[in-house]
Amino acid sequence: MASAISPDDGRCCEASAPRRAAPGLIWFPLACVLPLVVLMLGFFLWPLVGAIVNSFHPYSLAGINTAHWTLANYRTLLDPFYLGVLWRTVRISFLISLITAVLAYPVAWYATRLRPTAQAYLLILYVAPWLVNVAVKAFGWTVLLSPRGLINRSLMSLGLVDSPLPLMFNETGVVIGLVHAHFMFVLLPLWAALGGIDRNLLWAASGLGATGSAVFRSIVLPLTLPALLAGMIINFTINMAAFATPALLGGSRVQVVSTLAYRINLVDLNWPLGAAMALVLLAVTLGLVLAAQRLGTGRREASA
Amino acid sequence: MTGPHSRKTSRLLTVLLGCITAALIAPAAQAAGKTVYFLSWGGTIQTMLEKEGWADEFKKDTGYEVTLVPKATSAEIIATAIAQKDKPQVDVVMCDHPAWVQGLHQGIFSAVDQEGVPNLADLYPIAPIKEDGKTMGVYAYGDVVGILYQPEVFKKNKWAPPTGWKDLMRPEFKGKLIIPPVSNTFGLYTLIEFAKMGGGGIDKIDPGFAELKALAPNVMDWTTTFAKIGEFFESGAAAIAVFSAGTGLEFKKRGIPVAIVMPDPAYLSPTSIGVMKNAPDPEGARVFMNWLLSPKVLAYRANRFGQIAMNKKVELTGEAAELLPPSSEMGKLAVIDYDAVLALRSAWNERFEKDIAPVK
Repeated sequence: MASAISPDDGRCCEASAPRRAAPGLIWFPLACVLPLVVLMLGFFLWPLVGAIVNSFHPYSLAGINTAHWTLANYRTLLDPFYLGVLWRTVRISFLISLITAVLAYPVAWYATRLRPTAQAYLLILYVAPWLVNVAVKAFGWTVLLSPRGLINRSLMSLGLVDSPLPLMFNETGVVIGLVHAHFMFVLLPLWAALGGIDRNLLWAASGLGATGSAVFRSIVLPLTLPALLAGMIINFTINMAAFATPALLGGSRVQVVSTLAYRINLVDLNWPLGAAMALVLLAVTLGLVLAAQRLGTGRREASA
Repeated sequence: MTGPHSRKTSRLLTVLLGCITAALIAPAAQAAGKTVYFLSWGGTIQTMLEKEGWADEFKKDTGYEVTLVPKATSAEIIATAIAQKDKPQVDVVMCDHPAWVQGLHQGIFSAVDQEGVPNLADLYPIAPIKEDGKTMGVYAYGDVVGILYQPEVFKKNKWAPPTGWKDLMRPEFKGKLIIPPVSNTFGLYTLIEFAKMGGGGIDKIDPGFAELKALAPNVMDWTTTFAKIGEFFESGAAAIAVFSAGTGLEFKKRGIPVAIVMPDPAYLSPTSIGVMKNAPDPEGARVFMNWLLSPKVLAYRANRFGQIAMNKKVELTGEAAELLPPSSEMGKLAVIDYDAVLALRSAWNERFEKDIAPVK
């Protein structure tokens, strides 16, 4: 992943000639990595393998029948209802990434022009929502967005609308909540990339008569595209997995894969079907991320 | 990061990251000695045991300690219990009966008798949960499905107060009505009652779904938690809701103006308790179960939280006495055939999500 998203790869290693490293230099980094590798193997990969195995077993009220193997769980997911929920999840997640990208550009641009301390404070302001518990955040949004919430009451008392706007219990609510919650994942890489642009390029371009939009299109956007894509990919994947915000702001009317998987795993206790669903979500997310990365590297190779 | 990002910036961000890391590493406390591990809710159960001193009371009464393993919902409680059925780490499990019975079907509970749990003798006849003649667990207490509404809103709009299930269909409640989804216990009772009103029942559920579908445009939200309902009532977003009578009492205690109607038939929504098969401390488990079923503990739960005690010796006082059905009425509470429902429930949940939830 890093090779596709790091804006300066290829630069660091050019100068280093091949030389023999001291043995400590080989083993020490390995020893540092080991605890996390063990942790990931034990607490991520192993349960994941368990889930993969479970997803091929049938389920009945007596529990998971580990003696039999079946594809029935995956067949169930081909039902238009489940495909529809998956499509909605992908669509909303992408929309949120897109809106976040558009909103994050001006903020990141503004941030890079501030004094360093002011930059830090501004960024902390945008990181702060991530530090608030996700359920508390969603409840906060209900205070603003509900039919009798602050926004609707203000609009109605100003005479701008006659009846409350439907701002929650629909996709609008989920999009608003998640754009706010996951904003920093696009903002921070963009800020870093924008800060790294050599200002002389911009002055040169405008000195040669380029308009503001031309400067953005031919200099700023290409130079920040890897960071933008990286941010959007991270943003997209956590949107796909978001649970509390869709549950609270979408309600029962807007089902996404995570809320549906919750019901299947924890209310129906149908772990095999739930596992199949989680794996489909994982595969679709991974596929889309890889496709986006290929898009990013392809572009850079073409422009190089 | 070069250019305008100075050392100061990165130092501030480092401090910030440090804070996040520190927040993630929460200290874990461990209890020692003869301890019963009790898997149940983090709501009123935790309030009672940990904040209102009843864990200490248990120690005083029996010499055992109790450690609560709290979960948010019945579904999570039973899923946790089933996940450790081969090697249990908890002794006693308590949650809503529809979830509890899923555990029973997977054989995670061990039979109890009056020798280990003497208080079984004082329970109402509906309480014991039998399988092959053995008591696998009991209803400890229950709640009644109730219709909660806001009297002030009703007065202002000159609406007649609701009296029963049929009132939910009144057109004036459009956009002000809350019904839990079918995957929720109270939503389940609503579906079954609607089916019965339309001439069906558990084995013929179509009329229930037809009624829910007709009602769906009036439903403001299919809400699952009492906290959210309370918020909708307080903000005026909703005026009437199906949930539990005990929840209504809790709202009143928190100062949310609400009136409670127990519609006819009134459905009992039981909370069941059982001992895990191969529990780490089978004896302590039974001691705890017996203590929880004692008149002392159940009377507290009835008077404090509005729950209907299954022990005949419990006396009600105050608001609970006004709200809860007296012992003479206990036989009249409707219970549903949970075994029949269990086999159908996941199909009903799916049907609700396909046909009812998307209706606006």
